[in-house]
Amino acid sequence: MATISPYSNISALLIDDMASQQATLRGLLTTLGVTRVEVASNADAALRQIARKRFSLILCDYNLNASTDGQQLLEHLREQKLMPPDCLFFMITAEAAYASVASATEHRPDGYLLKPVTAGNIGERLSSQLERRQALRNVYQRMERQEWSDAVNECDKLLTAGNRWSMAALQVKGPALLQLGRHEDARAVFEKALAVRSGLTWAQIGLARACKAAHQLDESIRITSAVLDEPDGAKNAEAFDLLAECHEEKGQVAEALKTLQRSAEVLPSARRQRMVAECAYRHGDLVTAKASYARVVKATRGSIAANPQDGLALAQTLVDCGEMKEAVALLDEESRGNATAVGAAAMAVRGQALHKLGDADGAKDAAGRAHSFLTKGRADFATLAVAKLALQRGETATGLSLLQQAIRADHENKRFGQLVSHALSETGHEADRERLFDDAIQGIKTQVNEAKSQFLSGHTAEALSLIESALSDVPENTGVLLQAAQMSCMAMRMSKRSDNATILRVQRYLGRLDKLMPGNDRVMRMRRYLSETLTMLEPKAA
Amino acid sequence: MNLSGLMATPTLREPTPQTLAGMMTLPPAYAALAVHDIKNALGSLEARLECLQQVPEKTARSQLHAAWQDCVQLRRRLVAFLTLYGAESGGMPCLVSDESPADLMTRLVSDTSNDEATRRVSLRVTDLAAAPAFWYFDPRLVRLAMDAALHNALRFASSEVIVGAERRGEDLILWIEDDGPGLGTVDLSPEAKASTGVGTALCRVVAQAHRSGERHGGVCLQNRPQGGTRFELNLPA
Repeated sequence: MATISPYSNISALLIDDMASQQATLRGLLTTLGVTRVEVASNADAALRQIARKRFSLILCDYNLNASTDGQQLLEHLREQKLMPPDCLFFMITAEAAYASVASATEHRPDGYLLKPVTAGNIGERLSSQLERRQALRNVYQRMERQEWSDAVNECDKLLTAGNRWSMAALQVKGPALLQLGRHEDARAVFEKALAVRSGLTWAQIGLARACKAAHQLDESIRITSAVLDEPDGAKNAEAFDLLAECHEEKGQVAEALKTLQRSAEVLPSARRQRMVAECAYRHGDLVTAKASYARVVKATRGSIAANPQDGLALAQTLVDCGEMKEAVALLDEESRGNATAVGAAAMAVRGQALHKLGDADGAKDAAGRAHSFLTKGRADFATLAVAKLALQRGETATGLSLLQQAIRADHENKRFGQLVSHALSETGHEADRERLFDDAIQGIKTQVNEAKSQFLSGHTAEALSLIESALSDVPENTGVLLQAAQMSCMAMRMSKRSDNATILRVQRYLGRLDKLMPGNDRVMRMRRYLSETLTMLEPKAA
Repeated sequence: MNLSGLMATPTLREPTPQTLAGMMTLPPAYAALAVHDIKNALGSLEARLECLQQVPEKTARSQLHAAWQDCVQLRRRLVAFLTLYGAESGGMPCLVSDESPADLMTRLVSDTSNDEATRRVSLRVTDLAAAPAFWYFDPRLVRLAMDAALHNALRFASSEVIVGAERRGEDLILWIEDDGPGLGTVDLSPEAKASTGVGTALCRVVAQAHRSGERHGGVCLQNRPQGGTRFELNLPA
């Protein structure tokens, strides 16, 4: 009689470059009752299979003997959200490599399996992870749907039961409260966890996040620095990121850059080097930016972690450093079979290099093509590059107009503002800076102020219509999106009733904001405001 | 097919005085690499044998099971040795997470219940109601340590081995008791010759790798008043 396995519903993918190991792992999974097993020999094949089919378990060898290793594949899958949230990822590693693989990672897998892998090892990890998933299933479902209040309620149910899952519940409740903008409550949750076990890294980082949300930047810096000084936290990616964010928010650029550089040393990933390069470039440290972008391009060439934007950013940095021939050579290399490299940004950077090399016709041709490819009115790299080329070629009105549109597209985006300032000073238009920003912002401010004035006069519908109209002009303007969300909530408060259409609209704004600035404190505060509004308008029990 | 023969056949040459001298001068890292190779080869064999257990013939299955258990024991010893080696060279990451001590001990017993040793010794887990619902520890390392301690207890027990978990003050205590002759007796069994003391050393480094502030874990091995030995692994809160 066939035995029914608890794992018979699992659909597994094995990723290993060695056929013999694939066969062995397949046999072990069959022993456990996992019979639906597919295999892939490298990261590219795995990506194709993951795109085609929903797997619930992935067993991946760390060393795939290719340009992409198992850790890079995991990071790519998590960052691009290519893996179903309920899919378990187990990393198989050699005993000798385990210490380095497990201690320095951007994303942790759901489990490590050390070679030689046995059915017992897989079964043990599988059973404990599935049990955890099952216990927290309701919480995860709410979080996936971004229903943060419900997620908090589900955590409270687990905490009331006071069982095995109490700490797991605290670990997800804290971040859910932060998403709701309830940083005081989140702080209490993290402190409660630390009372159970002092030095718990996730709780300390959560506490630091709560402090940052409350604008207590010094306290946040103190906590994250302490985490990084501890052996358990010395390679914690989240602590590095948070510390750099706090320094940058305080205007401590050198400290922010130093923190990111330290993180790239201890967690050598393309993503970390990219962060260093981006921060350095934004603040005019071209030497560091060039070295870091070069490292990213070299490390990711031929790998799934490769991003065409890196090559373009390096080419732009080379142009800014005066290394025109190197920039053109790089663009030539990048353009082979790469559609992005012939887009607006690539053409603009090539045009800048040709212009500086004295090839006026080449630069003119590139400028024309760049213009035709450009999607205008966006605060992005391409617009900046096309504007720079126009300014370098003496087409001042065109260049300044493009920059003005881009600033207007997201006028509260400080990082883009820094890039614009950098471009203006580099092209000798520093004197235009203040007027350019004022003019760009003035238009959008006028629209928002008009909407506000209508609102204060009690013309709510007109106000909402005006702010919607502003948003249709600048759909990715985070400041206007926040304003629209706030105004819609206030309208519900004033009318003393909530309506589904408005709630859905605010949620749509918040969703867009989440994509534009993930994890941002202002967005979290707005989510809290919506939640408080809805609570306030709930019918009172008799 | 005589599988016991397969296990007994030496796959390495007997060391000559020259190779032995060479091995003595090898740096520890090379010794570890050699052990890695042997361990991985053994792991492949173990996996093949494990899969072959699906073959229906009863006799073949029992022989295979015994051979597989031999493999498991050998691999465990090698993993213990390598973990110990890793700890001494500063490369033993301790990845703690909230785990259930009761689940760990229950699984330890259930996974060992088919071992050859449990044919002559009763192995049971005590009532785990007093065990804390969760504790922070590295499940892989603690399982390695408890496996080593349990196999030690099974070797010495006369008729019974009991395992349990409880909280004592600020520590979690994972314990194993046997009704054997107790500490200080000489073990003349064939297994004793193969014992290298790696298991005990492993338990110590695993305990010490678990830190909480200034405190770290420890191990304790003592005679029971009623006879036999009690092993304790304590892990700080």
